[in-house]
Order: sequence, then C-alpha cells, then structure tokens
Amino acid sequence: MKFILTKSKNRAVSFAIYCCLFSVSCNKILNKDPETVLDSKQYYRNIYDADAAVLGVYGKFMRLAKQYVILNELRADLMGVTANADNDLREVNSHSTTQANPYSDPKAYYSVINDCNDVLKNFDIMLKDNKFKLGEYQQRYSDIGCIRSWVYLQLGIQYDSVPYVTNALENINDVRDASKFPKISFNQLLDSLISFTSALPYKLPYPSGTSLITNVDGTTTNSFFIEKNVFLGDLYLWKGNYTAAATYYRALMEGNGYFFASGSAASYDNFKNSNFSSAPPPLNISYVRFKESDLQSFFDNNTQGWRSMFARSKDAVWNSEMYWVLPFSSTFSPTNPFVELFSNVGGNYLVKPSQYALDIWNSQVQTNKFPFDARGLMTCRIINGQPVIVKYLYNYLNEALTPVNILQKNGQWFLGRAAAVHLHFAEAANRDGKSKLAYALLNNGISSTFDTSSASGRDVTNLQNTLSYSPPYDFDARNGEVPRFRSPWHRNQGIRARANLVPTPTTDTLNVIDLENSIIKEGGLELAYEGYRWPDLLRIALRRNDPSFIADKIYNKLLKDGNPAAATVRAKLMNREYYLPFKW
Amino acid sequence: MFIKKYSLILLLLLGLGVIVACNKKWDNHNEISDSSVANNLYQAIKSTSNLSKFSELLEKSGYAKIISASKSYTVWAPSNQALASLDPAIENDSLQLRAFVGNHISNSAYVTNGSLQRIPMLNGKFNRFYGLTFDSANIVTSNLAAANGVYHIIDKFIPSIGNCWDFLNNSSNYPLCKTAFTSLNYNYFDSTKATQIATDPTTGNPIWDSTNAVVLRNSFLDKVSDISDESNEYTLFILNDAGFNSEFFKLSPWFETGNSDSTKSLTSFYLIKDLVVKGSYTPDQLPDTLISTQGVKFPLDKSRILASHKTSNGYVYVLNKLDFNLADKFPPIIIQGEKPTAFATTDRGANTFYRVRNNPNTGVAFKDILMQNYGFSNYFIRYSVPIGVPAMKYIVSWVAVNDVQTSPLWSQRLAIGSTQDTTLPAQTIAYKNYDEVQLGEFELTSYRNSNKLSLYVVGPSGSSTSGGSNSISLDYIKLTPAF
Repeated sequence: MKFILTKSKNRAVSFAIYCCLFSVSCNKILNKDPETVLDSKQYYRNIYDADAAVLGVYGKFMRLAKQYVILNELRADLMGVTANADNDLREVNSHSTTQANPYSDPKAYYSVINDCNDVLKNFDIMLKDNKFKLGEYQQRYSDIGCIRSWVYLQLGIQYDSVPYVTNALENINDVRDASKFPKISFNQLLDSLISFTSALPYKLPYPSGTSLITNVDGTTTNSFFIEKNVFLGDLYLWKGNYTAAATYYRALMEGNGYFFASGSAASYDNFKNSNFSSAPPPLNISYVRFKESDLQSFFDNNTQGWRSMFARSKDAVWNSEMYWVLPFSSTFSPTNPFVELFSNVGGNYLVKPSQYALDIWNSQVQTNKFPFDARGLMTCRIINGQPVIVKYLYNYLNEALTPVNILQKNGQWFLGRAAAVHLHFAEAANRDGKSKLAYALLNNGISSTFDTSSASGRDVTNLQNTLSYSPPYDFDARNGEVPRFRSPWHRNQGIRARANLVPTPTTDTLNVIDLENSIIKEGGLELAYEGYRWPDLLRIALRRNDPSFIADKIYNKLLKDGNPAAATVRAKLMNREYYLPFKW
Repeated sequence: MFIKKYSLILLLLLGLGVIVACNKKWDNHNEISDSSVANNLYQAIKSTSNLSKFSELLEKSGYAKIISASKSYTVWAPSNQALASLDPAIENDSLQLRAFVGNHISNSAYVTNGSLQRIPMLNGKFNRFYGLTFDSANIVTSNLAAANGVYHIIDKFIPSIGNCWDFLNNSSNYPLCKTAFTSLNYNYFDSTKATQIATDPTTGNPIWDSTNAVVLRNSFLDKVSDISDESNEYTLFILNDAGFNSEFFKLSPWFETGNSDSTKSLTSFYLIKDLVVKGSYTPDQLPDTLISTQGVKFPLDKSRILASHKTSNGYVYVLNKLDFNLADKFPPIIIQGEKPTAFATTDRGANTFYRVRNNPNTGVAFKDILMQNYGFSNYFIRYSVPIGVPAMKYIVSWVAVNDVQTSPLWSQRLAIGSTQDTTLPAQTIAYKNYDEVQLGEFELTSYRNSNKLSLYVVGPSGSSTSGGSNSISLDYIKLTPAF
C-alpha cells in the first residue's frame, strides 16, 4: 500500500500494479493442487496406472471411428450420400474436400499419436525406475507402439506424405511446423513403420490372466487390442513384400498363442474360416436343411448365419471370426457415431449404400441359383422405403428392424475379422506365385480345391493339402478315414463358399491380375463399410501403377448415383490425385 | 490515501465511459434504416393508396388482425381498380368474404422467382405462383416488404372456387354420371370428433355422443382418387346422360350377377373408375390419349367436349362420349405363384420352396413356388383371384418352370372353381421352359367378386416322396380376356 501511495500520481503505473495485484492473487488460488484431478507426478506409479494409460489410449482411439469409416468408405465406391448429408460429407463423396472439412482434418489422428508417444515415454521411465516388470513393459509398450503405427498407416493412406513424430509434444500444433517435423513420403513412412513395428518385442495378444484382460463396463476386454501380427502383415502387403505379409497373417490364422489349446475344437475353427463340421454352419449364408431352395428358410437373425457375427454375444463362434472389435455403449463415452451416420430411425441417415454396390451384390449367383448375394441383403436393408446400411446397427435395432430403445445407441466398431485376413493372405499368395492356394481361400476352401476326386473312403494322404509348398503357404486340410486324418485345416471353407456363392471362374488361377480383381471384388462384397475398401483399391492402383483401377469404380458409383461431378472426379483420380490435403 | 482512492475511481469511470460509448455504436449498427419494414403487413397495405379497398376488406373479414401478428405471411393484394368489379354479394356475406380474402393470403414469405409453386392459402385452397403471375392475375408491383412478410399488388382478384368434387356435387345437368359417384357416399363414424359420454360397464368400450361425429364419406374418394384433395391437381371427365348410357350398356354384360342392382353398381363403378387423370390439363394442353389414375389408357376425342370448367384443384370436362378401348379397359389378370391362398394339406411346408431365379432368356429375376416329393396324390395349391373377375371368356396361360430335373417330367393341370374341373388339360412341364404356355379357354358366366374365384394347380396322381415325380411348379397364371 505504501508503495502505491508514493507512486500515486502516476496513474498508469498505479493501474498496472493494481492489475498485477489481482492477477497474482488469482494465480495463487489457481496454483492450489486440485483434489479430484491427477497430476502428472501421480500417474505411472505401478502396473495398474500403466493399464489405465493403455485403456485411455484406446478410449481416445475410438473417437477416430467415424472419420475412419467415412474416409475409407465414402471416398471409395460402395457408399454414397443421402439427401440429409451435409456439405462436408458431399465433399468427401466427390473428392473435393476443402481445408475446413472436419473429415479431412488430420488433427484427431495426431492427437492419438501424441497420446501414444506420451505413454511410451512414460513406460520407458517406469521401466527405468523399476515400476513394472520387463515382461509387463514389453506387452504394453508393443500394444501402444502398434496402435501408433496403425494410425500412421491410416495417415499415409489418406494423406500420402505426413510428418512422422515419435516423441511426445507439449503442443500438438507443433506437428504443423515443417522445420521441426518434415513430411516423409508414404513409402518412407512404410519403411519407418515396418522397422519400428517389427522390432516390437511382443506380438501376441495379452495372455489370459494379465491385468488388462478383464471386464470393463460389462464387456470382456480380450478383443479390445490391436492384432500386431495382422497389422505387420498389412504393412508388408502395402510394401509389396508378399512372403513376409503372408507369414505374419499366417500367425493369426494358425492361432498359436491365441487363447486356445492345440487340438481343441477352437483350434480347428478359430480364424480358419471354418464350417464347424456342423449343419448349418453357424456363420454361413444358409437355409434350413433340405430347404436350400426356399427363400423363406434363409437364416437371417442375430444368432444364426453370416449376419450373426455382427450381433451375437462373444461366444465361441464369435471368437472364431472376430479378433479386434471395440464396443460403443450408451453407458459410456464416446457415443456411437454409427447410428447417427447410418440409421434413418433415431439417427440422421447421412450415408447410404451406393447403387453401384447394390448392383454388384445383385450380380452374384448362389449355389441354389438365387440371383443375389445374401450378404448384401444383410449389409443393407430397405427400412421405411430407404436403403440403410445396417451392418453396424444390429445391436441397436431389433429383429423387426426398429430401435430397441432409441436412446440406447449400442454398437461395435469392427476393426478386424478373419475374413479380411484370409482375403489379404490370398492377395499376397496370389502375388507370390501361389494362385491356386489364393483361389482356394477365396472360393471353396483348401480341402476341396486340392483334391482330385470325391470317392468315399479314398486315401487322402497325398490330397487335400499344400504341404509341398514352403512356409507360409503349407496347409494341411486332410480329412480322411483310412488312414484317418483330421488335420488342422480340414474345416476350412472359402470365403465364397461361406456366402453360399458359386466360385469365380477357374481361369482366375491362370492369371494373377484376374484373380486379384476377384479377390478385391470379394473384399467389397464381404467387408463393405468396415473401412477396408479405399485402402484395398488404393493399394492395387499403386501396385499396378494403374489409376483407372480406382478411378473407374468411383466414376461408376457417382454416375449411378446421379452425381454431376462423376467425370471431374474420374479425371482427378486418373491424374493420381488420390490423397487428401494435409492441413488443419 | 484519498488521492489513491480518487485515482482508482477515476480509472473505473474511464472504463465505464468506454463501455457506454461502445454501447451507442452497438445500438446503431443494427438499427432499421428501411422505414417500410417498421410497419406490419396490414399497416403497410393500409398506407398504400392503391390498396385502400383491399385493406377495407381485410378489416371487414377479420384478416387484418391475423396479418398484423408476428408470424410471417404473404399477401397478394388486388388493386382498387381490380376490386371495382367485385360482386357486392361476396362482400356482404361474411363467410364468402372470409373465403375470398383468405384466397389472397398465405403463411410464410414468398418472393417472386422462376419456379412454379402451388402455394397453400389461408382459406385451404392452393394457388399457382409463377414468376410475375399469381393464378390468372399479373403481379403489378412485386416483393414489397413489411415487418412480418411480403406483399404483391395484383391486377385481378382471384375468386375462391370449388374443387372438382364440389363441382360434381353442385352440378345438375348430368344426373346419371353424378349419381354413379354420389351413390358411393356412406356415413362414417369419426371417433376423434365424438365426445365420450360413458364407458360400457361390461365390455369397457366407450359410449359416444355421436352428434357431429357422423361424417359423409365417399368410397370413390377413398379408393380411386381423392378429387376433393386441394393439395393435388386432377382432371375429371364427366359424361352427360347419353354418353354415360352408351358406355354403360357397352360394359354391363360383363358384370352379370343375376341381380340388376348389383350389376348396375358394378358397371357404374367400373365405368367411372377411369374418369380421373392426375394433373391439371387446360383445354389446349389436353392430349389425344390419357392414362387414368388406375392405369387405364383411353382415347380422347376433343370434339366430344361439351364444356370445360376450371376448379380450385384442376379441371372438369363434360363429354358426350368417351369410348374406352376394351383391351385397355379389361387388362389381363395375373396371379402370382409365390402367393398361394391355401394347400391341399397344411403339413407339406418342408416340401415347399419359395424361390428366386433369373430367367436366362430375359436376364430378369422372378419369384416362383416349387413343391417336390410331397407324397400326396393330386395335391393342389389354391389361388383366390384377389380382384373382381368380369364375366367373359378368358384365354388361360401360365409360366411353370422346371429347372430341377430332366427326368421324370411331371405333369400338372389348372382347375377352375373346383379341383374336379377338367376344362383345361394337364400339361407336362418341360425342362427349362421359361415361356408362357397357353392352357386353353374357359368362360365365366357371371361376375365374381374379389376372392370369390378359386384356381387350383393340381399336381400329378400317385404319391411319392422321392425321385421328383410328385412336383408342382408355378411362376404365374395369366387370364387374358377374349372379346
């Protein structure tokens, strides 16, 4: 006060000090440690803090679901916009995103990356301070490291060249500073990702009994985490190293270390696209026995048939197909973005199946001669006269296709399932000179493709297998009585056999390009709207250096949906302008 | 101390001064500068000298209050010169006046633009608004703004007239045709308009006071075309008595029931059901051939038009002859195989297949029914014809696809009215024949109401549960009238 008095004549100074006084006292109030929020000193003290950090990263990661599905599907050929769609979605659909478009903003991706970087840094500190064991460290470090690589692969697919940042930033906007973080090309990015990810010390799922395998909000966590072997397979497939890709895919397909004992029923079924030796096979497009020609006998519900994998509870059948699925529930954040996107009841119905996609499903023929692919019927349905993508809505709608409770927007984000691994394995095998094996996995399965007769009681010792191939292409699918065989792959059926479809032409095996086209087309039919489409199309277009592979499909979609920009978009894609502008 | 306090107060005052000064500028920035927008629609119209007559009518009809409210409206105001010819009877009848003034006002603000719109008016009618025209009037001064909407000055008033249904009901010169329509009137109890006075103690059903709740409805409006609907446009053709009779007697033999009253009502209905066309055709827009709302094509001879009348939802034409082409008036009747009514027994579900197939000749998918190995001699599938069947001779054909076996080829037959009927011979179902097969003819001597004529597809004799000799297949049955 004295001080102020003496200087009182100088009003400006007194005012400044007066302000300072206030702000200083404010500061003091704010500096008090909060009682309900953790300070960084209080994180990372033990393994449970480490587990919380891992789940926190996945919670953040789930916020990418909407952007992931929109960028990978709406830019591709199977999804179109409805009359309700806003301008941002229309821009994505017609490949004309502007800077302000939230869907092309990479910030959300870098936000997850930055969290990963921060967690990895702290895991290293914890290990140094002996706060958890080496084994525990390796499992968690590998998991988060792999998630970061996964997000980077997405960035590469969408933006081509991006900054590769691996240390934790205080301010995420620093990523924009090209002097600190220069952009590297997609190809360089793949090299960096492969060298980092393949060096991760632990590639299997968390073993049961680990503190992370538990129940969170009513769901078991064993399918929450990224599949590192499959992701490495993806990286090598992008890179064009087919043997390495197939080797990593095979690790999951064999399933050693994946929760089931060798010789158990699950060892024949899990990730093997199995027929379960049962009639009807639980995940097949199938009909009541002896009524295979009857449309009304078609299994179309949440517990039987192909559709059930998107709806059923996590039982043995579910475990045989799904390996990476994150749940959305009305009881915790983040909210399910898919109801808003897809549903015309309780949602905004912003996107829909393109006419082009519906036409492809309807051009397939089933083994009972029904002229449509039943997976299309169960992926998109007519609800209230509108075509609706329902793949993500089976936990929200009841059997009559009306919401169980309009406020309970439960759902799941399907990030990994065996069918995709089989198709990508087939893609690699085909390019690696094993076209017949690829054809088998795509169509009628290994056993029947590598067989010469159907006589009963024959010796199958030299049939029904590819053991003459070198790994990773050596499969044993023998199923015989004298001598008796029940080999690990004897229940394998092809992707198209599971969908009750007639096989693709056998001439496919004679031409790598034809078979590759069939495999990619099958990916569209089987995996539509699960986020595989744009990457699949882009990978092939890059591999063949043939922009028409991608441009013609998008052109046909826009043309059939009556979009006047069809020709412009085709010209743009033919000019190899595949990528989004990297701006935020 | 004092000096210090003084300085602080001074500072605070200084700050306040800045805020106050800002405030004034803030007020100015969105102050209304266009004075015309300060008035509401009624005030604006009242202050326009050329609209003094219309503003009087607004006052008198009560609409002045409505268009002074804070919702937004559009007024198409006829000028004083236009209203000089208004019939004083309208002005002096409060109901008529309200309908008349309401025919010039709509909700929401509509400014002139190049696209044709039918605007819902406050009297329940719709008027066309297109460029600088409003119905038949021209817009002299357009897009005048007021605080709660827009108004346009037009050179002609637009009377509130009746719709097609009103015209028919008010007409007196064509009694036969009018009766054909009005005989379909019925009373309907509308529980939403009734008051519940009690509850039945035994059944729990409500007991209604039916005053005001019985409304007159018409089954033509319900089932064929609602030509009383203002929001859609229709063209209605009315026949004068001579024209009606000539067409009536042409059609009546096919509606023979043995009862002259029912024959008359059936024929009348069959005649008038195709007298409505969707859309409003002005006399110079009328084409030679039209398609009724029921999908029947008919030729129009313009020299037969006796009179034409504009209505609020389209046009009405009076004709002295309308000559329906019989082949168009009586299209073939198709009964789908996959929609059976009943089976010989109900326990052969396991042998019944509802299929989808591609026709390899046309590439078009079709649905059919196939029964196999059901083990039942002369098994049959029954089909009720879901629509009324006129009394005449029919050529019968079917598509029955056997794409399952080359041997044995089974035979099946179509029986009319009873499983014992053998008018039409049995047919062997050839392998992979996707074409129509003609079965023969049969004559229906009296008209059958919907679901009163049964057709039976009868399978082969002998009972077998394997090998495919017990089979029935049907895509569809087609009954083509033969005149």
